[in-house]
Amino acid sequence: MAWFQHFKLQIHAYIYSQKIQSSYLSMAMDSKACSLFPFELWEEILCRVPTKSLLRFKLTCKRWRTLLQDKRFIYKHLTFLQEQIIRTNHMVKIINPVIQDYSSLSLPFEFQFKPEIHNMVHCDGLLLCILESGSIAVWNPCLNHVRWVKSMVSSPVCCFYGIGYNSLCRDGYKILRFMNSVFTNNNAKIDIYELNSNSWKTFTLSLDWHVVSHCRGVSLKGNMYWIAKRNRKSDIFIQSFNFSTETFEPLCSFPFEYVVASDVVTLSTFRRDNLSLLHQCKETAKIEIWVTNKVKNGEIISWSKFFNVTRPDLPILCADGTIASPVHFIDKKNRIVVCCEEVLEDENNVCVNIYLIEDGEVRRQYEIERHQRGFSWPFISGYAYLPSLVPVPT
Amino acid sequence: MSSNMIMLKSSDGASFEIEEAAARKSKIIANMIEVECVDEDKAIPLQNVTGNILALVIEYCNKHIVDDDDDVATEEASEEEEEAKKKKVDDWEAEFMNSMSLETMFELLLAANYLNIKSLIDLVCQTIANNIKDKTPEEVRKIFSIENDFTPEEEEEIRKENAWAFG
Repeated sequence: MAWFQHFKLQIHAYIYSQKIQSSYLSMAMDSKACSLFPFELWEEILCRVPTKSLLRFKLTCKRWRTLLQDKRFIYKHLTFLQEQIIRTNHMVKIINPVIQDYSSLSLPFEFQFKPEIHNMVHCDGLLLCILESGSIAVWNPCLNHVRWVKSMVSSPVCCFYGIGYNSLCRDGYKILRFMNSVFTNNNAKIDIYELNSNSWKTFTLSLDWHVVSHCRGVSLKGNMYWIAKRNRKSDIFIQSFNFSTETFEPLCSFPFEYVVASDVVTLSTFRRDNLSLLHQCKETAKIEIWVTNKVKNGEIISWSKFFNVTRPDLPILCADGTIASPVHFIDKKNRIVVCCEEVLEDENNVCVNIYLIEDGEVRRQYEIERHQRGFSWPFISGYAYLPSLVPVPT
Repeated sequence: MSSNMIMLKSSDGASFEIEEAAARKSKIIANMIEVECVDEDKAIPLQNVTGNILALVIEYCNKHIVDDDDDVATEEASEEEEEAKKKKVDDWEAEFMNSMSLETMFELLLAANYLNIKSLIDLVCQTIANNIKDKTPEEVRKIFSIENDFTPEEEEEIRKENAWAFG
């Protein structure tokens, strides 16, 4: 083993000398070394920098700005992003609960003095916003870009919405709108809008299912997913809409028994290519997280239990009429982030809390807002969101 | 310790002995081993990497080859053990990158890129990204000797468009 020891010593001597050297170096690098540094390595570095910093770095030089506006770079950067919570009222808040970073933006001019945003659906950092008046807009909060979607018919608030893209065209975003209730399902009107061509098309379908109330749809790899219930039957399942084939496809049944009237269930994406369900049983307050093992069009998928949280200090998630439904996501280090509203002891006020759950324990809890009960607006505590540089198609 | 040892030679003539399995983390070295590309001292010459940087690359490869061996030995390790191991590697990587100057990081990145070691490129890029993310564009220009080629008007426009990021 002598050679090995010798070799280790040699390495340590090198590293030691190098560390001593480095402490004398100033922060500025040698300009010749900088000019020889290949630009494609800058791309590798910058795609790992958070969006807010990149917006500042647009000012570095023209070459950087061009890179940061390049679609190929933007979609590469998107793959490195970690979900955050976005919440809008008179301001826009983007919260990264893991590193406790908090940004506050003003609401874009287009949304000021307008009816309030009733609902949002997220895809690639773009938010499809449905206003109380039925107007529709696509918004990138980081870029402060808003595009109104012209609609020939006014869209009633009771419609369901989705946003996704054709698998052959990464930035070929489409919007889906459909009426969906037990009463209208025989002749459900489906509208699809293509952002690139600025055109609507409409067809009717007979649907034997409906999206369960309180369920928010999620966009995953360009397709939409909801929790649905078979009409006049008790089975609950995941329903999807495939934006490439423009068809609804039932995906799979639930891995647990879901008491719609009392349990809390939220749907979310998991690591960009799977779905996740958070389930809290009202009676036991126990929280379970389930994730799919494979989501592929037409293929049978299975669920596995990802997490069981039984600690007594868990929040009681609630989705009754007076407070907003919770939202959750799982981060890269398997921590669960839950954003929810909770009624305060005085019974008149509500606070919006974010919980960070790790190893079955609540690691951190923050209050991000407090308001009067019955004034929950929007009706959702927050949205899981990727703060991206993806431009709103013009 | 039955594996083969090979010699690597840096651009400034320093020689390092390394296990072949560790050296194969580099796609370039793996290729050179295949085609027996060695100099008169039976060492693989790496003309684009200096000794101090090669020492760091070797330290990294050795650490990660040991981890790979562990994986084989404890294939049936529980999830918790897996996680503990991953945390250990993460801690080691943090310590490895910590106290390295920005200049060294860039040299290490160049070496990792030349030697084609994907996981080391990822690690160094992420560390540099973390180091610069809170800097202002002026600081970034100064550190990396980047010339500001914007007119004051253009600069003003970018600031206005992205006002919240400058706040």
